[in-house]
Amino acid sequence: MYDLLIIGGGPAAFSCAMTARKRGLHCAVVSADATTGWLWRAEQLDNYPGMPAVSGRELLRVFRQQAEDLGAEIIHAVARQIQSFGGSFMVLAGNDVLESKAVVLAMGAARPKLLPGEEELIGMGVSWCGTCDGMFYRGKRVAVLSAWEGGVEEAVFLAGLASAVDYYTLAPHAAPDDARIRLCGGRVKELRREGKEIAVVTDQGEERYDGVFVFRPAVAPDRLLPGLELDGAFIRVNRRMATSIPHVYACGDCTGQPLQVAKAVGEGNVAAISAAEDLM
Amino acid sequence: MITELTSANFDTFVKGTDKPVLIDFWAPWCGPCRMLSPLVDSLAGERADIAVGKVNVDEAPDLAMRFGVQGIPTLLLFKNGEKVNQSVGLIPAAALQEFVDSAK
Repeated sequence: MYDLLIIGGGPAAFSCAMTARKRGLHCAVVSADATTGWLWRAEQLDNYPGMPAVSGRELLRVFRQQAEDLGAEIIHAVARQIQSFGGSFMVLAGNDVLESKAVVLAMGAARPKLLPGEEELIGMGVSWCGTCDGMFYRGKRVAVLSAWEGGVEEAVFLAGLASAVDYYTLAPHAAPDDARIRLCGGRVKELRREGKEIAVVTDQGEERYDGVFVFRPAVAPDRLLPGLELDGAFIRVNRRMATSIPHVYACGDCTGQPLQVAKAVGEGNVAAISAAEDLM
Repeated sequence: MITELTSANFDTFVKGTDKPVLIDFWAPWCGPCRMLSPLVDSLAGERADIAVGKVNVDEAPDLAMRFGVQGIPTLLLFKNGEKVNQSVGLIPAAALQEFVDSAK
């Protein structure tokens, strides 16, 4: 059982982890992939105090190192769902279940957009979990639709079960290099049920499959934690960075404008202090 | 109380009561199933007005196939032996209560 699980891998998350460690909290940062964030691609930042003309990549490296040096654990996984239960939280990280007394949401401002038809067809031929649902497609034809390189591992896993695996990229990333996996072009526009099959509709036509698996590096906040109050596209917080759910805090870009590193770092610090106070 | 079900005892369990029957299709290697389990366990303890059963899809793949289960966790709700509702994926405690109450 952790005191604090921090969801995200940017400045707010690492700042929060540093202060949480200084306050003696047993904490971990759950982060899928730093390379999908905008800061990773920022060539130069000139307004972050103390580190003039730093690249986004270097800034992230230093933040992460400092958090690790202070004793924060880094868990490389997508946080898929959070469940509040009996005064604590269960966080589904990849396919592992982690438990904590409090949670900090610091997953940035990116809002993964679902495909038309995707959500309605979950459990009816469409799945977000290869490990969970792969066995239902043993010997069948499946498609993997992935927005990040995490989909590669899933596709390889599914290739061991399914008779055929087609791979579509929803966002640019290194595609799988495996003779059992066929790479498909075209921009995916929609998923549609056709009898017992699922049609993957692209701008180049459509193909039908027994099952379709969709993988993304992030989950929208209100899907991650049902019942969380939002303020437009952002998570509603007070000055303590507390959300509408007790012992859940949010910081950084996911709480709203301005989307600045200095603001994120400050909010991460406040969130950690609030969590430490509330857990006392 | 929760009854472990296979095709040997499934029909007797589902048809042998006039209470709504909640069935949890799960597997030990499924993360979201492991998160839903404590909620189902706790509901089974709190609610004497429902019957609760679990189907391990590894041990009873025939039941999963019979009900067209293609993703886990899947919850099925039965009333008088008939399936009346279905929910796929991890749901919060409040939604689980609502799901069970949809049989009334």
